[in-house]
Amino acid sequence: MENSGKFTIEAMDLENAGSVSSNIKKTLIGKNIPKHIIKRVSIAVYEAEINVVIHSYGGTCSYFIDDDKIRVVFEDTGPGIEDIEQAIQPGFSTANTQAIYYGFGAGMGLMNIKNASDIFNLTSSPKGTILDITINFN
Amino acid sequence: MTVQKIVEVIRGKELTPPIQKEDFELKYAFSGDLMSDALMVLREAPEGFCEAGILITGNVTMQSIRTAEMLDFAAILITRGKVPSQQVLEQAYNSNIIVLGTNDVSFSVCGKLYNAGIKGLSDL
Ligand SMILES: Nc1ncnc2c1ncn2[C@@H]1O[C@H](COP(=O)(O)OP(=O)(O)O)[C@@H](O)[C@H]1O
Ligand SMILES: [Mg+2]
Repeated sequence: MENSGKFTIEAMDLENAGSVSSNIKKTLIGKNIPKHIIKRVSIAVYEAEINVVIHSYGGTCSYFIDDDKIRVVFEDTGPGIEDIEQAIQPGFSTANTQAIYYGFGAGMGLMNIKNASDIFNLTSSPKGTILDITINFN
Repeated sequence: MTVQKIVEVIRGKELTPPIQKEDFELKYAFSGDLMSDALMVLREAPEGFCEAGILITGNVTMQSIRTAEMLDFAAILITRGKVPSQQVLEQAYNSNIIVLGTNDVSFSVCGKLYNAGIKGLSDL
């Protein structure tokens, strides 16, 4: 199985959203990693993928698997997050009705990703947002 | 509880073609329409909870299937007689997730399953 890869994520494509996370999850299942860690990674990556789909103009997801950790980087092309502190607060959301119809927009994604991650870095400008997370395998 | 028994208890039906799951026994359930809620609450759920669990929801979109996949749910129960699209059912089938349907509202079907011995996170 591959130890790294890169995917494209389309804006507002809520029918296919989740396919990147599914791919990464399947890659991890092929390795000797504890099940609860695979679930933690899957959840964090899925919420992050959904964010690129519902809040950005589209972007990419790159992952890098080591013996003891996985790093996943999401980069999009804007419009960016105005106030990162506020965005992470549970309950804050600018999601539109379509995102809500699909079950998202509760404003809990970023906090869940942060709590699931061992390293969480979120940077943003109007040109785009970069979410860089690492989850240890033990 | 076996899939057949659940279908009987909820007076519902299986929407996906029969999926062979070795010795599958339903023990747990989680109910909600917000996928982020399920993803947050169940992230650190006890080992085996979702694997022997059913996600009860009125969300019939592709993302309820994806959420079940990320959480390792064995099955999904769609309430209020909503019918998922063929694509959604195919996605579930390919992900080895059983989809059941009932005309009941979530509250009523949760009660029936609880009475039959299915447990929630707070009961563990
Ligand atoms: N990639 C992104 N690009 C622009 N804004 C984002 C991005 N990710 C998150 N946000 C902003 O942060 C808010 C909170 O995100 P999150 O906690 O995942 O909740 P939700 O996705 O349910 O709105 C979003 O509503 C949005 O305003
Ligand atoms: Mg989100």
